[in-house]
Amino acid sequence: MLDYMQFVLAPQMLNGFAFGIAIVLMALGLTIIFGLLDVINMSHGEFFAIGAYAGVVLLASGVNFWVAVALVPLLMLPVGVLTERLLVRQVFDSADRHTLTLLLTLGLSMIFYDGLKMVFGPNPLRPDNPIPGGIEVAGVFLPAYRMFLIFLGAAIIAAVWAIIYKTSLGAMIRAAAFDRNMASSLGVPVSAVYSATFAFGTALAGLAGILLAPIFSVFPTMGHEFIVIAFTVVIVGGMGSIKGAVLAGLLLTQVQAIASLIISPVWTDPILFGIMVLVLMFRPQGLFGRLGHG
Amino acid sequence: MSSADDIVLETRGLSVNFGGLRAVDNVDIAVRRGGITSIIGPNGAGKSTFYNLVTGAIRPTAGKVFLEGREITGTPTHKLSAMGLSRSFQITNLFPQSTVFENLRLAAHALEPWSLSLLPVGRAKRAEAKAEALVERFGLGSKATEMAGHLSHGEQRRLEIAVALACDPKILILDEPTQGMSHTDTEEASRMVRDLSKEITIVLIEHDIDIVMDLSHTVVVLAQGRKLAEGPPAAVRANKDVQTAYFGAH
Amino acid sequence: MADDGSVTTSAPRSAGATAAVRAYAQERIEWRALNIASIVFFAGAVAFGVAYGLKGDTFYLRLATEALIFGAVALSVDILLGFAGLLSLGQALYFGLGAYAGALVLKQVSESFWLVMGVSILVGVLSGLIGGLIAIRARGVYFALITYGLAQIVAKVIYNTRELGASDGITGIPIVNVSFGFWQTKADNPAGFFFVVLAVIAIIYLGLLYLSGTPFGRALSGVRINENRMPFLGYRPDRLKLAAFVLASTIASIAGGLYPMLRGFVSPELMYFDASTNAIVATMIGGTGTLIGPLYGSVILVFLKSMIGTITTHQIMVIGALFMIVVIFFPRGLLGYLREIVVARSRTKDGGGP
Repeated sequence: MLDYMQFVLAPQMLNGFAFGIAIVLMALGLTIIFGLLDVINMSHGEFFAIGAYAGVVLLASGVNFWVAVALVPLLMLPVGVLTERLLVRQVFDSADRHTLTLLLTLGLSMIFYDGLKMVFGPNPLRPDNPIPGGIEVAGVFLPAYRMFLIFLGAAIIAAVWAIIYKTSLGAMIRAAAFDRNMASSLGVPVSAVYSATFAFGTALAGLAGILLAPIFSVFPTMGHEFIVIAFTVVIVGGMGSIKGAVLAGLLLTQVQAIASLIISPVWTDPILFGIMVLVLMFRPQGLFGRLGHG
Repeated sequence: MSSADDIVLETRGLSVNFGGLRAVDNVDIAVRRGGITSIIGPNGAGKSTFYNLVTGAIRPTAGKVFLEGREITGTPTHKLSAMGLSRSFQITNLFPQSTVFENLRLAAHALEPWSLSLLPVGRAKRAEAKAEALVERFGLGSKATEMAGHLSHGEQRRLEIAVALACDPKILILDEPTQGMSHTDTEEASRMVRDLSKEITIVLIEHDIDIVMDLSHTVVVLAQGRKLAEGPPAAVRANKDVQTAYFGAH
Repeated sequence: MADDGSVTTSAPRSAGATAAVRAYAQERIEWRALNIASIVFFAGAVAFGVAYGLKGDTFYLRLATEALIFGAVALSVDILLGFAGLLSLGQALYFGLGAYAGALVLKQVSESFWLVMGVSILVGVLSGLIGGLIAIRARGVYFALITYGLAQIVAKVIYNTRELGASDGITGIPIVNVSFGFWQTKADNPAGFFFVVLAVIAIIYLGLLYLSGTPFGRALSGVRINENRMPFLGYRPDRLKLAAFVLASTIASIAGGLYPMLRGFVSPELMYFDASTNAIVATMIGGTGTLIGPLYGSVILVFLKSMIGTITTHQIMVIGALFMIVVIFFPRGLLGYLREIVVARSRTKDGGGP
């Protein structure tokens, strides 16, 4: 029993935690973009994949991993700004805004997905683990890279929270999310805030991509694979809620880790989906409220 | 308490809390059959909330609502319409991409026994006749094939009332029907409401005090979620509390 | 629509005509462009089938048959989006379920076309009820995401189920004999099976066209245009949406039942997101809410893909770009614009517009 805890359950939960942190980064991007712009970004999964591939390219061209981790989110910023300016904005004032922005980002995801396949081929690539090895604490082996991922991810999540709730940019974002017109009349440069937020969410997705790259492989359909769980997290946590994305992200990935151990990996997705359906039945708005709404 | 034949709509101790705020506080109202009963109050008095409670859009925290003596608290909206309670909306709430006629036909057909019939629409002669009568009555004959969203504001407000009337209600609650109308349109609408009140019971939720005084036989004043006064227009106008709370605020 | 003929001749503005007569006439004008387009479509399809059948062609007939089958999936997207205003991102799920059900029936029960049709209707109704009861609880984008998640998850489960052939799917499906009593053909006869599928699609299309002119169809439109007002009239939007969902899943499932007959295999890819996306792309290209548009869209899409496929293997990129152009610049789609032009011409007299 103790062996099971030590060699099976604890590592599994730790892996789930590291994965959860990365999923939270991705979900945060989704939820912030939804909370502010009301846009379901279907290409968020591809932004995540692009981040991972950008990392692969940087590493292959000899860039140090740590530099790459810092560079990838910066490289993603223009991708986000351009997507918001050139695409989302085209249909933003339409009455069917929700549907049209969703469809538009869906089209964009097709292009990115096929483009990645064209450039990098269909086979998975895996960058080397930048910090191999690990330490043993109380008989449990802690892989160094995953521990690093957890700490860095947690720091970034804290930074995101601080940006949204403690800075003037965050105040503008929240004001614009609450009421676009009111914010605009109070002098918030709503248009710039929209672009900045979209870019910020995109950068978070890209960051999640490169951070997960050494653990999972990098492959063209990775966006499709990970976006489902990110959406589940965002719906369960409450669309637009930062607290919700963090808690639901960590909780659901633990459920996933444990369920794949004691039931079967095949059934983890249906279980998560079942949780999401239950949450929607009893709390359609998710566990927590929206950005800018309390 | 009340006998069902002369009280159509009644609320007893109706209350609702939003967070810590008591938006509607222990309101008792009895609406007599026939004529126009008006509910007035300054902005934020709880008129809209009260209205949403009565029409089932919000569930009350406490209290009950009765329609012709039957309790309807918490009854789903679609059933209220079948029971004879209909409402219009303060902010025009139509089917803008449908024609004027289709707006009325859809509304008139809702309570037919086969409202989701699989026969061609043209076969539903009763709903069609009702829609036609409403088109004429509300002076929309020349606009019947126009998209509702293309009508002028005044025409949309008229259609709004016509749609609410299409289900043959016993009681019709009108939420600020003259909202945003020009002076002439308002007069026209007032006349229409007065005509209607000869056939069915009307509850008028209004901000515009002058309209109310002319039209209604009973006026209820809400302020800060509570009932401040109730009675004939002249008596209400003379009421001291009302003057400070409502007219004073003007 | 199915009114007496005398009405057709009266102009929408003719004095003395009742509001109902004028309104129905106006609606007929709105459908006129689409009805002509549908006659062109089906007449064109018959001509194509005869010509290529006589030529002894296989490739194009099979491609066209596939386009029609996927066209039915697009039609099912249009019922949800164009009628009830619900965007489904997982319509391929019901297509895939119908395809698997059809494959299993053909392999293990009986090589009967009619049994497959019956079973796929049953599967469509049941799965649509289950999926619908889950999905319609959510509104707007939540609905879209739930349909998406549901399809992804079922596909994944099937992908991992050895009894259903896992990632390989089910192959070796026998060639089915299709008999209408007076005429019969086999599924491996390209022209014969093309006409079978064309007949099925035509029946579905005509059924939906009819439905759009019934109080049921109008109530669905009411949900699309202003769901919030519907309960105040006495309608139940939740039930209407469920009915639309079941109708859509049934049509997708029927299309699915035809697929293994055409291709001889089924695989989990049929349920994947790409397949759902294709149906949405076809619907948007053709025009939502036009019914015939999605069929045009599907034909355009399938042939376009085949053409691009001879140049590059990266068709998805081209389709994605085309799709975005449509969404930004032509959100009403091909047939939507055609209808608009015809309606605008009939309205020029009174100036119209706000």
